[in-house]
Amino acid sequence: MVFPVVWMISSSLKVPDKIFSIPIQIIPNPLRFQNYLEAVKLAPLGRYFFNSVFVGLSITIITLFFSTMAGYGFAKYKFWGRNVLFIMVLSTLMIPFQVIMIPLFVIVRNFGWLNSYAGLIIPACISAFGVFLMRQYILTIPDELLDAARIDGASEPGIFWHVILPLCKAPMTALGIFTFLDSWNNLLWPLIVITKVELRPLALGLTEYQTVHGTQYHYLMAAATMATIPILILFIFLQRQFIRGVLLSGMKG
Amino acid sequence: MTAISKEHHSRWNIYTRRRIWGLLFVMPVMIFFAVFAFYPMLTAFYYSLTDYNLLKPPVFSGLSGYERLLTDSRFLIALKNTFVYAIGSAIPIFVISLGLALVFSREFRGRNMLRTLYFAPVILAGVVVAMVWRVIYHPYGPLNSTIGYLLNIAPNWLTDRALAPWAIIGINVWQSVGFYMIIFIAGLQAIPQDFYDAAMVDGANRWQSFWHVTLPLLKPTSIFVMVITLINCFQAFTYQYVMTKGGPSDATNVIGLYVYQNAFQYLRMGYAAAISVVLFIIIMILTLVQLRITRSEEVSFV
Repeated sequence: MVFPVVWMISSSLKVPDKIFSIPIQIIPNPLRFQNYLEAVKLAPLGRYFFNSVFVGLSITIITLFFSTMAGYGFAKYKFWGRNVLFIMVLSTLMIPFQVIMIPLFVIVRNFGWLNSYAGLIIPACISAFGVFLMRQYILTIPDELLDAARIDGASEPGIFWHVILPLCKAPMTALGIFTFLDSWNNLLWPLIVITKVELRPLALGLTEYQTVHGTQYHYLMAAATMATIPILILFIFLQRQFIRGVLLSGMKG
Repeated sequence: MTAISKEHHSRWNIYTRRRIWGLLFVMPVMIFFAVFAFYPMLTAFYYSLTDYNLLKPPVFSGLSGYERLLTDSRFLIALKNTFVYAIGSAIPIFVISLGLALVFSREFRGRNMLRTLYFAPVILAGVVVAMVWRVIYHPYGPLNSTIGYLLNIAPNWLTDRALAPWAIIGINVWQSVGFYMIIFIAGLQAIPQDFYDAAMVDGANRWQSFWHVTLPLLKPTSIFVMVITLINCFQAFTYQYVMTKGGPSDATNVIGLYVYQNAFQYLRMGYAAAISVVLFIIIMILTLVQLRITRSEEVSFV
């Protein structure tokens, strides 16, 4: 199961003609750490990396905040059109991205956001699943808690900030991990809106890297390893939250 | 009298104010959805009825795009490939992830460690997976130098028209089973132990209790896994784009990729939108089927 990952890391440290050696080398001999230094020279991998982190974090923070706020509104307030709006949000779960990507591209072009962080970030900050998840969770918070805060003189936004947000840490962590991973792994949207090298996120940067240096396998594997290690480390530390995220997304149905 | 009406008045005020707060809380998200989901959705249908190359405004052309679909052999191949990819992936994913879930719902040494290893591919980026497997599938790569060597074969996994679609299905299965395994484990844990105890009292062996207790009670989870796998597979793009660009000669082209090619490589936005509407209809049918089945077959443990 993990052979491809092990092989990726091992090949990233091999001299080129040992990559296809028979029998397969798992522990490279000789070790060649220069692959990494040279791979970085061929393309601004560090810049790609920064772009992915920046875009991913921005999307995650914005999505978490607004999804929780909307989830709170849908769960704890009665207002005209509430159910219709909620069902409209949910119905977008069955829209494949390929359907909206063409109009989305035209909109982003009209806003002047092609080749910009705004173009990468803002259209990606909607999550029907996020709104649904947060609403379901906030429904389980007893109304008495909110009323008690009101008697203490809390305003409605105050309740959201001081009561709801702190109680929602668990679902927000899971949703956050998933939002970040989705953004980190997304290829199609950056492919459409980004043509400038310095704005490429990793997924797009690696794809272009492969197109240009497709047969220099030792560099490809070094680049792929660099893109994977941070996520693997995150996974090792946040394993439980990752798995809970999977389960939560399992509720989508 | 005045006091009552005043109170009445202020109470009405509180409720109205709360109502307004509720609306305000959902407002930002609704604006986002309006601009980046609802409006694009409607526009997609409109574009599908036009000729549009991005340079000039869309020109209405009625259903001609949809008529063209019927005679576009590349579209028909991509449609067929998408079905093969979805069904060819869904069946092994289902069987393997259920099998893994059954194994991992027993206690044994090193269970958590192993389960983590099986889950790990889920978190990898599709692009990274595609890059690594492209090298693994290389004619001189590690796959041919081990299994290929033992079987004395050396196929060109990604350039052979018959093999390439299955090579990509293999990757998809490899990366996805960990995800569905977790969902099956949760489904298995939700089955109360009493049911197995009762089956044992009735003299059922392991196989019988799997067949008559586990499977029927796992039906909602199974349907969910099946439908979600299909929905995800129908939207496939990354592996195909990164590994083969849909080749050799469209053998691995799929709808998700063909929409992209038409829209952003051939600049046929209107036609691309028509193709995407077909994709939308497929996904919608799957979703409705799932809603229908899960509603009518809700299993309760009470």
